[in-house]
Amino acid sequence: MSTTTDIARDVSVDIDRPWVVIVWNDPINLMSYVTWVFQKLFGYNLEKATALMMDVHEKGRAVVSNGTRERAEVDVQRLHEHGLWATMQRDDA
Amino acid sequence: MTFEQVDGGLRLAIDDHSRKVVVHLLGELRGEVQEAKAATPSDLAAHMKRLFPSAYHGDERLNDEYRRLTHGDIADSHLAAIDDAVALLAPDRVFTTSELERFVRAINAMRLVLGTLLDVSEGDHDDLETDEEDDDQHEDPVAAQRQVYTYLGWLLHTSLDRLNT
Repeated sequence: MSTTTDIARDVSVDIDRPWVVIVWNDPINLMSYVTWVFQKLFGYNLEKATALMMDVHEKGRAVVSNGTRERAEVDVQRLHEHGLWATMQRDDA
Repeated sequence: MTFEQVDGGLRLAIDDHSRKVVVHLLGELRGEVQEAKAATPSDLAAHMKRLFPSAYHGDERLNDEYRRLTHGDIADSHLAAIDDAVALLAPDRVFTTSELERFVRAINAMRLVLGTLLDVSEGDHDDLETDEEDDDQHEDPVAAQRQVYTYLGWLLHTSLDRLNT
């Protein structure tokens, strides 16, 4: 049976480990398109959007946003609507 | 010049043949997205899965929940972008920058589907351009699709340039 303390600890674990949204490399999307989507959806400036795009291109993936599960799911849906291959998971860091 | 600045906004300046080809392909894509909207994940055509990716790695229960909540909305979003793009392609149509953004999304979606059908892989871009110039391209059964794919890439790139100016 969970105690109040157990529940409080579980909640704090959730807060400490937010969800991250990952965009994965794919061979079709143009680099300029991916950069534009990052600017449009997340309000990143050109420098940051380009750096994230290069991470996607060269490292195969990049974390583009983080937050609650609900926030991450909204971001993933918007990325899917724009044709990017995005997934979400708990932050391992 | 692909876009002309005119009173009230922008106008797309591409030849009639290209315009008709893109409108035709958008119509085909619209039908495919409508079918995909009604499909279950297991029924989804392979070349359409790229427009409806999974949200979670290795957790089918969460993916099922994500699809239940978002699949229809994502399909509707693709359909709205396609409809806007077709309207924008009407001859002499003057449009705004926000309309151009939806055009870009629709062209990208079409390119994703065509690229999946062509099994495009990393590093294929140069090959596709080379194929276009190959004298023996008539022997390639998908040469026409490759040319369209290359053209859509150019149209998308040009549109993004316009959005970034």
